[in-house]
Amino acid sequence: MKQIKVIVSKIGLDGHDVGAKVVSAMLRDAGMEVVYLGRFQSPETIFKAAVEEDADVIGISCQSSNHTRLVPKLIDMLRKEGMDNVVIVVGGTIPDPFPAELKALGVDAIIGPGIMSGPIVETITSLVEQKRQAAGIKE
Amino acid sequence: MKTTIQEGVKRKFESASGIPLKEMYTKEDLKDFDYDRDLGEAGEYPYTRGLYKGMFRNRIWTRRFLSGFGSAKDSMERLKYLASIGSEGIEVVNDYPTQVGIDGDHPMAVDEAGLVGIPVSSLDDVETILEGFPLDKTTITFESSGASGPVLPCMYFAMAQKHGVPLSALNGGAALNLYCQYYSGFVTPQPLDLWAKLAVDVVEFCSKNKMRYATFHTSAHNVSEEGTPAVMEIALGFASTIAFADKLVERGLNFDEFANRVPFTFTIWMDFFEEIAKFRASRRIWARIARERYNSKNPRAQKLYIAARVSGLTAIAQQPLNNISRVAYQLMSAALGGCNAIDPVLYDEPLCLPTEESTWLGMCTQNILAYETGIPNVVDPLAGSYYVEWLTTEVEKRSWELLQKILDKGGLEEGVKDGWIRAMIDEVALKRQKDIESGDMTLIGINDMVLPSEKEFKVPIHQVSKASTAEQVQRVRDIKKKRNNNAVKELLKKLVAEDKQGNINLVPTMTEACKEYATIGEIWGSLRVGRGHHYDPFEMIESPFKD
Repeated sequence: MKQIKVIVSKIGLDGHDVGAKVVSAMLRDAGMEVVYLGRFQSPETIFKAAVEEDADVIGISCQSSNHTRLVPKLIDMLRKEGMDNVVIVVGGTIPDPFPAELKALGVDAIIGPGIMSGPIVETITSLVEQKRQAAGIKE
Repeated sequence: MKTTIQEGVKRKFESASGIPLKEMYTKEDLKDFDYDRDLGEAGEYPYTRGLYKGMFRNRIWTRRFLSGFGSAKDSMERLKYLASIGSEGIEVVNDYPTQVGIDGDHPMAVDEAGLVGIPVSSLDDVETILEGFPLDKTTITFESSGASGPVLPCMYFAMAQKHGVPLSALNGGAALNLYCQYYSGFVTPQPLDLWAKLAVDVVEFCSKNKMRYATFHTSAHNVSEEGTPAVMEIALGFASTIAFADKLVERGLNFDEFANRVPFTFTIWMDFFEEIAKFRASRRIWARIARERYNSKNPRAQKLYIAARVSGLTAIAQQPLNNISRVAYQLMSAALGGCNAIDPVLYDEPLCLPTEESTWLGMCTQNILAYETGIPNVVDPLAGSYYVEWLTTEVEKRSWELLQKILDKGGLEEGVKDGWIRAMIDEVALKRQKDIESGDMTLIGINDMVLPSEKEFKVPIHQVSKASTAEQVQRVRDIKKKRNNNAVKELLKKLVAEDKQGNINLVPTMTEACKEYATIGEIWGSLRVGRGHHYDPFEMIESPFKD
C-alpha cells in the first residue's frame, strides 16, 4: 500500500499541542508521512496545506471545543474543491453531542482522549483504504 | 476484568519524576539530615514546613476556582455563583483571543470569543465582569500571562481610578511571567521583547508606587501541564522566575521590593508523596535562590506563596466521576504540602467547562478536607518521616541539577531560540503516552477497569452557546462605535511614541487608553506597528487608526 500522507494541525487559537505532537509521532512510527502544521491554523491555512501536500488525511486537534465551529468551514472548502477523497479525523476534547454532529457534517472519525495508538492507526489506515478503493486507486 | 497490575509481573517502583524508590526508608536514609538547616519551624527560613507559624490552624488555605466563559455577562454570573458558594477571590482566566492579544471581533476570534475563559477586549468587559464586586475588598488575580498579562492590570487600574479606588488599595495581582508560558499551550504569537517590556513596566509601576498588587508571579502550572512532573516543573518554574527577576533587576529595580510577594502556581500531579515533597522542597529552593542569587534581606521575598492547581491532564474523560476521587487525593497532597491556595479540577473538565453542579462538588471536596479530616490541625504533619524527608531532599537535589543545567545553557529565554527545552518537554509527553500504552502507567478507565463504551457514565455537558459568542463579538463592535475614537487614537499614538523613546514606563498611558476603551488588540497592534511588525499577528486585519 502506498505510504499514507497525513496533515496534523491545531485549529483556531488553542495552543495545547501536546496531543497533536504525540499523535504525529505515533503515526510516523506506524510508517505514515506526517506534515505537522502547528498552532494557530485557520480553516483556510489547513485547506491550502491539504491542497499543496496532496494529503490522504487531515487530522485536526483541538481541546477548546471549537471543532463544531471551525471544522465545518474546512469541510466546506474541501467539498467545493471536490476533495472528497481526503479522510478527515478530529481529535481532542469532543463531548456528546459533538461526535454525532461532526460525523453528520462529514468527519470520518472522531478520536477522543485516552485512545491508544493501535486503534488510531487502524482507523486511519482502513479509512484511507476505503477511500482509495472507492476512487479506484490501486494499492 | 483486565488489570495492569498482575501477580508475577515486575513493576517499576519509581516516582513520577523517575526517582527510584526503595521498599522502606530508615534512619540510614537521613544520615545527613539536619533539623535546623533543612526544616526549622513553620514561618522561618528555609520555610520547608510552611510560610506561617500555625499554618492552617489560623487560616485554612484559600479555596478558589479558575473560571469564566461565554460573554462577559455569562462570566460575571459564574463569578457571582462562585462567590455565593464560598470561593475566595476571583481567578480570571481569559479566553484564547484575549490571551493572544486580539479583539473579539478579529476574524480568528469571532468563533472563539468566550469559548474557553473570560473574554476581555476592553475595559467595557472588565466593568461588566466585575460589576458589584468592591475592588478594594476583592482579591482578583489575572491568571493569564500571555498577551493579556500586561494589559489587563492596566484595565483594572483604569477601572479602579474611574471608581475612585486608590491603586494602593487593590489586592490580588497578575501572573505576568511569560517565560514559562512560551513552553505551554498558552503560547502567544506576540513578540517576546515587546511582551517583556510591557511586563517589566507593570512590575516597575506597581513596585515604585508601593502597591500591594502582586505582579512578580510565575505560573509553572502552564508549562507542567505539557506533562512535566515535579522535578522538571520546579526547574522550569524557577528558571522562569529567574529569567523574569533578572529582567527586573536589569531595569534597576530592587529585588526585595518587587518580590515583596512571590506567588507561584504549581500543578498538583497524581504522585501523592512526590507532590508533597515538591511543595516542601520548592519553598526551600526559592528561599535559597532569593538569599544567594539576589542577596535578599526581606523575608517576604524569600517566601514562596504556593497556589496549587490540580492538573487537567490527570483528570480522565472515561468514567469521569472517578475524577472526584482523584481530585480529593490531589487536594490532600497540596494541603499536606502546606500550599497557600488550592484549586481543584472539576470531574467534568476533561469533557467540557465545569457545570455549576461540578463546581459545587469541588467546593465540597475542599471543605471536607478542610473541616472533616482534621488534616489542618497540625503544621506540616509528615515532617520527620524517613520517606518524606528523604524524598524532599531528593526532589530538591534533582531540581537544582536541572535548574543549573538550564541556567548554564543561557536560561529560558535562550532556550526559546535553541529549542532544547521544548525537545525535553516533548520527550516527556511522548514517554507518558508510551508508558500508558505499555501499562507501565496505570490509568483507571484507560488501561485498567475499562468499561465498554455503552456502559460509560454519562454526565451533563456544559456547552458555551454560539449566541453567547455572538453576543460577545457584538459587544466589542458596539464599544468601538460608542467610545471617543479620537481620544483612543491620540492615546495610542502617544503610547507608541513613548515606546520608541525606550525609557518611559508605558503603564500610565496604557491605563489612560484603557479608560477610553482602547482594546487589547489595538494596544498590541499599535505597539507592534511602532516596532516594525504587522499590526496583526495573523496578518489578517490592518490598523483601524491609519492617518
